[in-house]
Amino acid sequence: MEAKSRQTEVIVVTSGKGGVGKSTTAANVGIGLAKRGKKVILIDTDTGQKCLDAILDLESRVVYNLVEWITGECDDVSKLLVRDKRMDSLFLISTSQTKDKKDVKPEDMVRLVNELIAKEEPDYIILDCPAGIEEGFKTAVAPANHVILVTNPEVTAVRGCDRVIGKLRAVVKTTGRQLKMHLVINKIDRVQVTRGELLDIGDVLDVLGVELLGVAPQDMRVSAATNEGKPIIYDSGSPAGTEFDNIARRLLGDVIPLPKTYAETAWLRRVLMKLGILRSSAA
Amino acid sequence: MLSHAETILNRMRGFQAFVEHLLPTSPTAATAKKRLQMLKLQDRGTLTPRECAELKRQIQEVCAAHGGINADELDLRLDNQDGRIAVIASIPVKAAVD
Repeated sequence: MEAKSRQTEVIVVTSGKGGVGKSTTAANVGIGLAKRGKKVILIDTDTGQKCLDAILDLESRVVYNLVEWITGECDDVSKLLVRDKRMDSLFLISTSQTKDKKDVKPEDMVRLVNELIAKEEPDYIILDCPAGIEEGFKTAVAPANHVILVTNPEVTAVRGCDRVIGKLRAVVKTTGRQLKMHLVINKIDRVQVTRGELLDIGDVLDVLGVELLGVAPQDMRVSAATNEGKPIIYDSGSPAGTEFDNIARRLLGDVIPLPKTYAETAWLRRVLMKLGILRSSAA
Repeated sequence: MLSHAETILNRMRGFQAFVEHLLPTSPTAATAKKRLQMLKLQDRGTLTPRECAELKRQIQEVCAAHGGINADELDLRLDNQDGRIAVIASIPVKAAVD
């Protein structure tokens, strides 16, 4: 069922648990790729709970949504494309807010992606997946050849992510599809990691066993960016925005080193633990 | 433009973070990791916690028939052995008293 794609990278951004930053990641990474001249189509597959249009401030420009293409109200995939306000080579395909996940089947998504590749020849198609592992997830994953998993360094989010990885491995096993898998750890806080209150990068990787693509810090500016409909990547002073830009660059093959730990002054902590001043955390 | 106030505030936050590092904390991240590894085994395995408890009870029953074994202290847990989920049982043998 995999979409036929020679040059187009079809990425699905997924997580299992909601609220970890899937749509923020999808939008910002899409912008990062478009910024470097790539033609990118973002598809919001979260029917009934869409949000990419609001993140990109494009809600008033959507003419047709993908459900209308499935029902035949819109007869041409190109009419679904909404050009971004700021990036000429970035396009959004929005979905319906009143229909639900059952109205879009995995085969519909594969057909949509195949037609987009044939007619529009994008470099990247990025599918923003709904939370959960039900129909919506299956539909969003169906055309993809690359998965970006987003998690937070918390028990509930990592557990949800592990469940998704299990599902994806089963898909690979039963269908023989090629699926690249990458992990983005989002909303990590240096102080909390150092204090041992939040899982560190290595902890999350040990549990999930997926290759790391990016580590985006907890950044209060993200809310303001969403408030304004101007994605965080445009805020040059934002640590999270900078990291989303780095993720885009890594996807393009740039070598940008990733940290192994997020703890601040780790050496100092180690010295204090050696001296018995700080209690060491169990390994 | 970043105002002076914001710069000072950022510095203060940095200093506050530094001081906080020096204070003893009770790290819960290690607990989180252990719990996650346990949850993962439960989520990935097909043995439900109820089935696991039942298995433990039955093994205890069998062990109780053998005098040399401390059936009450029997420990049963799931573990990951080279990518395969396994039930590991620790059955304590009573120590001989001279």
